[in-house]
Amino acid sequence: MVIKEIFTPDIAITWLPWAVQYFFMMGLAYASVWVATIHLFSQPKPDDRLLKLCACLMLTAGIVAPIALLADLHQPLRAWHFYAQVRPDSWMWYGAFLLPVFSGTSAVFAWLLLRQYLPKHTTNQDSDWVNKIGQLLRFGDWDSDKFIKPIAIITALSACSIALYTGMETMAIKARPLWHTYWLPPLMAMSALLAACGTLVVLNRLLTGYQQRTQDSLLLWVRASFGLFALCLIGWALFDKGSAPEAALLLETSPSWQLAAIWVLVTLAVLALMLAIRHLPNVAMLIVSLTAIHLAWGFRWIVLIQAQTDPKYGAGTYLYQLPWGPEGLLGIAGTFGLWLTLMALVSELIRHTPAAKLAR
Amino acid sequence: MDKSKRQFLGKMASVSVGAALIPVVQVYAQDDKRSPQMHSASEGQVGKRYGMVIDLRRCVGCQACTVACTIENQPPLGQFRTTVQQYEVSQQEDTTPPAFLMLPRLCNHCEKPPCIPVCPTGATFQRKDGIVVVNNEWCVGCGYCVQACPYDARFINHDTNTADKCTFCAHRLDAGLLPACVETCVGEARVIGDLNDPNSQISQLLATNKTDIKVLKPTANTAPRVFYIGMSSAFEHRISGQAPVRTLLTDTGEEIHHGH
Ligand code: SF4
Ligand code: SF4
Repeated sequence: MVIKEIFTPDIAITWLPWAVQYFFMMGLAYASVWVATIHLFSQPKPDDRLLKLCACLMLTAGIVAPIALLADLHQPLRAWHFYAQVRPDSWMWYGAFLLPVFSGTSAVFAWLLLRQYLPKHTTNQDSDWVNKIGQLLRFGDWDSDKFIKPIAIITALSACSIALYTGMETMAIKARPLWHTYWLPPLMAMSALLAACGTLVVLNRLLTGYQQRTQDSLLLWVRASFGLFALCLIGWALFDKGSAPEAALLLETSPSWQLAAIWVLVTLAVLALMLAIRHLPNVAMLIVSLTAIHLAWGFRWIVLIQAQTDPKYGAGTYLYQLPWGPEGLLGIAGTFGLWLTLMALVSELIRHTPAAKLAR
Repeated sequence: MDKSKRQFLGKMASVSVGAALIPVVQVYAQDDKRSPQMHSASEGQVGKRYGMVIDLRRCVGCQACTVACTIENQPPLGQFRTTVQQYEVSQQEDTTPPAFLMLPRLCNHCEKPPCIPVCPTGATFQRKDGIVVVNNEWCVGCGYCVQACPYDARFINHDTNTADKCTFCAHRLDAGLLPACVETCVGEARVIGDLNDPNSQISQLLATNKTDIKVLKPTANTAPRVFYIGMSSAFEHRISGQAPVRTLLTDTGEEIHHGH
């Protein structure tokens, strides 16, 4: 029997590019918490530069992410409705509680890591307003270093809860076979780690005080996270029984999915080749990092946006064209813009004491 | 214009005039309204279980239901609570001319609706009479339920910015009227009624056509309460076939994109 669809409606996507921004920014935030915590506990002499970069990233991305999430709600002002009843069957409902906890703990963790770089209180009249705000944010000159490790553990656990809920929230949707795989949460988490490590490399370049040692240890992180991400991807392709066959089906028929697959494979190959080079020149390292960031973002785009063009009942794929406005390109650019602004602000606040040392 | 088309249009006209004149059909007795079992409209009618039977043998694919629903429920341009999807079905050998299948689609008011547990606010819920509805004053528009429905029955209404879908015209049922689609159906292909009442028309239909009753995606474990008579099993699951030419429209109805 040959069936041709003659007349069926086209269905618009429901989760907008804001969702990609949320998952991406949140990934940067929780993965940089992981990097900082693992580094703190594994190194007898932690690299202050690395911790500083992680702190900047978790703070800024951690602020931008919930904003993107709010924007993805079609009724953002009603966000308080999440808290007005008990919905234990909904991953998203748990997320509504886990998210503020993470925002709080990661902000405290970042503050503890950055506090030493904030300007000390002076009676100096000609200190500028940035300096004054920095002094205020320091909340006095008391010693806070002893809190770093306990808070690091709490924040890292909270980061795990975010990685778990964002992954499971998507994975739980049986109606989307592409999402409904246990490989999805680890794929999301590992790509988040890859993106965070890549971003940290870029930040190491951008913020004054570049350190080769930091870049060297970040290269290890990039290699490890890329390896884990690639392993998860291979595992999914080989062993998954629902999502991978669905993807194969789309590959057969849809040019946009074929394009996406080619892009993923080429990017993976480029990264694998470059990361195999023993001593990466600095420029190459920058290229690797940017490619890693773009792979992780694109992966989220495919999973969250393109997967929504897969009809649940009909044949073929639905159409999607990125709109220019806030529900499209402007939203994407706006989130990145906001993140850059916050990054500039934070780096401005901590620039006065570039070489402080944690008193450990 | 050929003869059959003219006849068809003539029929359409007489049916639509007729529809305006037919007195409103009561779904349940008037005095039910005063019975102590009645709850507020949003809770539904206790003891009933609404369902719908769609007899595909009677559907001519005229989209009268699509239009009636759109007039009744006023969804935004390009968004539908119900549509009639059309398929061309031919045999591999191509010796016989292709047949057409008209498949009216709407929310299945599932007995085990996956759209409900995912909702983080409880805005989407099932009434006591089985109808799945959205409280769009409480819905945050997260779209989670839209993702969770295996039938693409839900959408985020671009006007209200909340989840929207077929309600079996619960507001009309509560007032003793039939859903707009049922009322307007030319072929009387759509029958709504109380599945709990063995004497209701729908229960009788289901009983007499027992061997020819199908639901969409039976393996999705949703227990749909929209039943189809006369549907080939090729349509039970996701269509495996050739996609139509799809067109993407802007909010104002301009075509911006074409594709398969
Ligand atoms: S058809 Fe979809 S929207 Fe309707 S009850 Fe079932 S799962 Fe929910
Ligand atoms: S869109 Fe509305 S009804 Fe649907 S899950 Fe979100 S809050 Fe619930």
